[in-house]
Amino acid sequence: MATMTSRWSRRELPVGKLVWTLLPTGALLVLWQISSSLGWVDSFLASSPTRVLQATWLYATQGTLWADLVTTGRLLGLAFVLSVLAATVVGLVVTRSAVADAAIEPFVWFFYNAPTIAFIPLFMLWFGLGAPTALALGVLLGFFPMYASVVGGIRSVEPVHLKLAKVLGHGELRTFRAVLLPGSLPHLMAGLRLSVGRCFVGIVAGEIFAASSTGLGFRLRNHADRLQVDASFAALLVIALVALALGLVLRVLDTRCNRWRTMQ
Amino acid sequence: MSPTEAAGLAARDPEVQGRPAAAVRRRPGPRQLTSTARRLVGAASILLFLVSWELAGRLGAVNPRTVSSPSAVARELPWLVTGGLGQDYRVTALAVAVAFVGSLVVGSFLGVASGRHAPTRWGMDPIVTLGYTTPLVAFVPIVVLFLGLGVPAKIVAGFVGGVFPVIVNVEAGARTVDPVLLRAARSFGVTGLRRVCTVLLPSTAPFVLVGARIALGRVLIGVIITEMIGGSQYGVGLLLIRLGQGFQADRLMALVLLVGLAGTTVIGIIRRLEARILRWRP
Amino acid sequence: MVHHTTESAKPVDPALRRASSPGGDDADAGRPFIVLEAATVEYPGRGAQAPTRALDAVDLEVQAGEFVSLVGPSGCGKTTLLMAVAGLLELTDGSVRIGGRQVVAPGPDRAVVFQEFALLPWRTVRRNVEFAFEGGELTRRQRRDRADEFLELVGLRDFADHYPAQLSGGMRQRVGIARALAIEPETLLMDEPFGALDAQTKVVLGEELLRLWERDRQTVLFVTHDIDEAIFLSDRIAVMSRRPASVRCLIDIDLPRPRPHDIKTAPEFNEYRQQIWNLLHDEAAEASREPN
Repeated sequence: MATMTSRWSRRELPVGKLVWTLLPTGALLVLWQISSSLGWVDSFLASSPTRVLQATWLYATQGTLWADLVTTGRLLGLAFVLSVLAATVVGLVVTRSAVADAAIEPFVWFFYNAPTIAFIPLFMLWFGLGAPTALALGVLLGFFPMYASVVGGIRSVEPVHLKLAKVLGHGELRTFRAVLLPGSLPHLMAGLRLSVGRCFVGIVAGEIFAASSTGLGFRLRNHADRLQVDASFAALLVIALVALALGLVLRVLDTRCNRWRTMQ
Repeated sequence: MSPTEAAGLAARDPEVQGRPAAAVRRRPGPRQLTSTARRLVGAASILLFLVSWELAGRLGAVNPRTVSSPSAVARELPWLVTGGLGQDYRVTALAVAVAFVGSLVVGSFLGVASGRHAPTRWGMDPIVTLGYTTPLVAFVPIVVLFLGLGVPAKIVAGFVGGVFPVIVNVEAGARTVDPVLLRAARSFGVTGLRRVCTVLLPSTAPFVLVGARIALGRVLIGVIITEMIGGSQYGVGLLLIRLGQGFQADRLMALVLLVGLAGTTVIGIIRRLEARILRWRP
Repeated sequence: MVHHTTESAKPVDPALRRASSPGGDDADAGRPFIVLEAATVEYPGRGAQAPTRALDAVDLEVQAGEFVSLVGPSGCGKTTLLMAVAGLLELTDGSVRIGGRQVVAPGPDRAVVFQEFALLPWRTVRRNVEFAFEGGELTRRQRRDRADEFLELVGLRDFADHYPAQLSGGMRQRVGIARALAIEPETLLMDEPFGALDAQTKVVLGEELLRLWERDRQTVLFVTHDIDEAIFLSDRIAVMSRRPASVRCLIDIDLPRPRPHDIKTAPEFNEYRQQIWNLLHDEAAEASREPN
């Protein structure tokens, strides 16, 4: 009975599910293409899937796609590292000292819920145009989710595990590696995923407003300002794909880390 | 004391929490503060921050022209009320309200549909994933491109920001309705629209609130960004940009503070509502 | 009318199985009210798997005003049977009739009491009772009064404005019972209603249930795996076989009513307990040897 079941589960491909997943989106794309080709809407303004794809192709082969990716990527990497580092340090301090926790709380409360996007003009005033503003924005946005998950993660470690480590005479570092890190890992991974996403948002936002010559956000703004619809969509598409890719990478990392965690 | 001990024992150890101060001090780990103490420390910390900021400006450590100072900001606070900004506040608030309500209604409907009907969920999945993962900022230039620099663009941008978190959260809620409750409803002849209203909807309320909270933040961001990008006539975002371009750091700071506090307060209200509703849960 | 649908039960003192008709009167007595004929519920298998039978050609007749318990090994399908009578489940084969009419859907003549209480957590106790009869033409005031009336019956009138989360398990189930009684059903279908409660609360609620039942003498189908509870409460016990469920044996409980709570120590009680335990033991032992 058991073998028959598994054979059938493999046979029962989620074909139905696949069709259902692709159908609505596919239908919309087709509708868009048709309405544009047939001139139901002003094809100049509305663009079409084929034109967007063409524009993307041009962007990649003759345009500045790679340069933009590198610029944005570098900023993202830097902002991410900085915000994670800062969040970890502050998080450790806060879980160690109740006073620090109470002292930081009002600031965290303010920045966590406030529309941080309102800081853009302020940052532009302080840092001028260009990379520093985008970087500052990225760090600001990426810091708080990571901070919350560091604190949450450390606090979620079972106290009894720590007591156990102490009783068994484990040192600081060993306790950290064997108990604290695996214990807080799920929170940390969630925090990393949120943080890199928010960092990316901050960087792109900074580039849209304050970038001078290169970067994905700048490219999008540039084309849109010049009413170049196809190229704008292309830039948007690239940004969307990068965001998805980041999420995917983090999810794979998450699975890997979970495996590591269960092997501790 | 090691951070590892401190971290674990401080917050979670049930023996530490709730015990009188004397007992608490005996155990290893940081002292727990009472909530009054916490508030005092918090207030002191804010004060310390303001004082050092003020001093930094006066002593020339930073340029008070760009960074402003607490005293200068305080001086500009009245301007927030009297500076003729009423129109700007109204326009932004209205756009946010419309976009928010719109995204709640549409998002809830779609969320319930996809929560209860798997093929709908599958079909919406690519669109929702794309819409939610892509940075909202990136949509705005395109929205402005199509809709121009007016109120419709703001509302649409806000809507795009708010609808996806609502869909995702309401969907989660619709999927977790207690089947026993549904069965009980059916046994008493409660079906169709009555069942949706009396069982399905209340059951998903906590999820709707979470979605609403996230959506509100995103709607606000969407509207303000649209105002910042476009040369709309009125709006808080527009104000912010103009103040920045005019190097009016003091007023800019004051406005940023106002916007920040407004956002935090409204979201705080929703959070409190969430906590209230959580009381039902056994 | 006692049926032996499958093989041997241990030989039983015939004195213990005198046919008894419950306290009902003249025209209804002796006439079957709830009738299951060859009731079968089968779930289709996935792909090449064989379909699963939850109920296997069950025959059962319950008279009006009778309190019948369904006792059997866990997972044997007693709940399925109950749900079929409630109209919440469709039969694959056979029929279930109440008062001569076939059951196709839930109706106001039957009320269900669930093991998990099934109270709406966002409504007060009173509003939960009202939930049972909201669709009708009563005014708000009338609904309120009616709910209060039934809450009074179960002793929870003072908690009418509380929320389920504030109540103990026993109290929640009382609300469930009040809700069921509030539609004044002819039949009460109870699915292990006290299964989630502690032993003492069980006993207390069992006695209360009998007290409430004595008022209107509804026909009751009571699912449980607690033998003592079944014997204490019922006029008749249907011992079910393991899955696929069928009625293995029907046992008349010839104990006087009202039942004092020390009846549990009476020798007759013990004999019933032995008898049922032996029947169940075989079934349970075989069931535990089967893969799920």
